[in-house]
Amino acid sequence: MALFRKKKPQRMKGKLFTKQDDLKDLPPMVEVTGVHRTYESGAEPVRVLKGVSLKVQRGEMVALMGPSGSGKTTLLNVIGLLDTPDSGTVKFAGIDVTDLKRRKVPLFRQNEVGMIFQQKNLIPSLTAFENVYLPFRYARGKRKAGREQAREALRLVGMLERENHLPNQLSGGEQQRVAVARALVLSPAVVLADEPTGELDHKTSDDVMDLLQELNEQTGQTFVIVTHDHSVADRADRVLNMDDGKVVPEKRQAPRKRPATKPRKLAPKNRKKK
Amino acid sequence: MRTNHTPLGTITLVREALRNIWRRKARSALTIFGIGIGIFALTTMGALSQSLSKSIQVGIDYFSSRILVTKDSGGFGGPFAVGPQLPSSITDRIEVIDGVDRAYPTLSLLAEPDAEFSVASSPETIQGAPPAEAAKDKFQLEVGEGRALKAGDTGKTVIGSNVVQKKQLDVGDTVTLRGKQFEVVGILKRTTADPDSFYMVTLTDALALSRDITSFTTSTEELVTNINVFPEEGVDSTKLTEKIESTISGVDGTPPDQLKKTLEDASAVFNLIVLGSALIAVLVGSLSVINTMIMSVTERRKEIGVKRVVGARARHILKETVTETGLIGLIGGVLGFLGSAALTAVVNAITKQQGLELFLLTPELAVMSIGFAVVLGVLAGLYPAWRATRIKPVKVLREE
Ligand SMILES: Nc1ncnc2c1ncn2[C@@H]1O[C@H](COP(=O)(O)OP(=O)(O)OP(=O)(O)O)[C@@H](O)[C@H]1O
Ligand SMILES: [Mg+2]
Repeated sequence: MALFRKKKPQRMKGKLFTKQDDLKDLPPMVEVTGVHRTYESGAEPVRVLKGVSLKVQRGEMVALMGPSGSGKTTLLNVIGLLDTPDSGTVKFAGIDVTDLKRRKVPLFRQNEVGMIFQQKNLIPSLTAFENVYLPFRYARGKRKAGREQAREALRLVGMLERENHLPNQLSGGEQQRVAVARALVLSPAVVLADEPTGELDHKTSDDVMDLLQELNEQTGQTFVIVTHDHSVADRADRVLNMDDGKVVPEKRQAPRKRPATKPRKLAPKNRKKK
Repeated sequence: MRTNHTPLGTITLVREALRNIWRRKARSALTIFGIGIGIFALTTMGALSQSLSKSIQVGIDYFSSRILVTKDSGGFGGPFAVGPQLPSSITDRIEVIDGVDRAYPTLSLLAEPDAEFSVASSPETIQGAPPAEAAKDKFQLEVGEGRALKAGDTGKTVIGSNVVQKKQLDVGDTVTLRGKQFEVVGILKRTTADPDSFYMVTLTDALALSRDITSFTTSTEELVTNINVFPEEGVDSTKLTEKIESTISGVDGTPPDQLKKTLEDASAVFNLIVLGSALIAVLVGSLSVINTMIMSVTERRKEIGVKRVVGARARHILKETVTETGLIGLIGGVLGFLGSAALTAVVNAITKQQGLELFLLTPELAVMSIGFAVVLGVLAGLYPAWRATRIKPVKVLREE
């Protein structure tokens, strides 16, 4: 099932994956080509995506910015296969998933894509642990290993002591950490985050970003983060700007900022499983 | 690709459903109350009809082996008549009819002459039968304590359990029946039917009591209530009944089939009315489950969207929703059942003193009502669950 994972670099410590040039021979992790999406709900059709194209390399952390209504969420949903484009293709590691059979979509999403949203990410009637464990509940044949992995993910985001708390017993930042743990627990190749810090204060937002950045560096997962916050975008390897349904041709970015705080000790080998 | 699916962790599934029920306490309580009322009605009515069915079954067993010959009364009284009305000499005339194996007369008398018939309980009756003949019957009332009557007994009686309770009698005690003293030699096992109010005596004793009452008449004939006719093996009892009626004038015969049918029809109609009304109560309760769950699904559509995003399939959402309504049904069912159990126990304890157990709450009935509540909960959950599966994550995740 780990369709893309095998080709994905293992733990990326040191030089090998710090430079994008090293990955030139491998197809990009995410490749969106000429995607159009028009909503026909109202009297006037709304053309939201007007030929979006972008590439995200393996292990890259990309920020997606742009004015409100420019189609960022729509694009993220298309990449996460929550939404289907009218035309254009979405490729994961060179494999076209645009026309993936509908019944295979949940499985694909489970294994390859983790998603984090701005708010109300967690199921209120499930504890932190149960929320992180949720993907295993719906995954085949993974439930046993899932217990440990869910704990591991909670430990990773520093929420293990709170595993038995319900979301309403956690602060917004803590809830978002749990949501991050849930997005990562199945070791997806790509993590898509839609304004993950949008409802958090500056300090908490920084903490969550530290966490995402550490995870990106330690695990080599690919991150696409939609944000309006420049301090968030500054953490990314690259910033893509959207405007009016298109990705604006990019200018080269300055090297990304290092985490503000000292990196938390991550549990070793947490990503070793294929 | 494997086709078997890992089941959801049942414990987590149930725990989540319970938390969801708990999340909306007032609303859940009302819904559970609605189901509970329905199951309460269903269980109580079920207990009533069970107790009735059991009494009727005793009647069916008793009558189904014999043709009961009574005085032709133009349709009134029939097999349930009491009092002296038929010359016992008819017995001999019946016995010689082709196809009759044997026949014996019985005499029923009201223990208290001015006892009133009531729907709720049968009056106490004195039942006189010849012990030697009655002993040959296939259907026998079981004696719990003491002994059965035997040929040659005089001044002895075997009594039903209601009589025991009402009169505080025991084996060896003496009881006065219509001015004469009788010794209690046996007590019948409880049947929940007419025999619980019996004083069984020998036919000879019963005739003597009857003669005392009717002493003002000049008739020298021994009058009995009915004659029990047992057909020979292989003889059609309906045809034999017709033959008896045509041979002997002034009598009415009730063949077992007809009697059985009459009793069963009565019981079926009663059950239909009683259970039907209770069923309506339960259905109304389940409508409130549908309503509640539609509200809950609408409220939780965002959660459901998130679940779909992390890999839940339609069947998972379906299962989770239906688990919740099934649990509502279960809780409502258990509470309704417990309420009914309490009520029927109290009522039974009160009416027992009058020799009547109005309700019979069997384990089968318990399993059936609670099971029914769960099934209904699950069924009521199907529509909201189906709606839940239609929720599109892209849509709901946009909502604030
Ligand atoms: N189902 C829909 N029907 C009609 N129009 C829609 C629908 N979904 C989104 N849109 C429109 O598509 C446009 C892009 O929406 P989208 O949510 O992708 O923007 P965004 O870049 O994420 O904005 P924001 O920064 O405010 O989150 C908006 O104008 C929105 O109104
Ligand atoms: Mg958006």
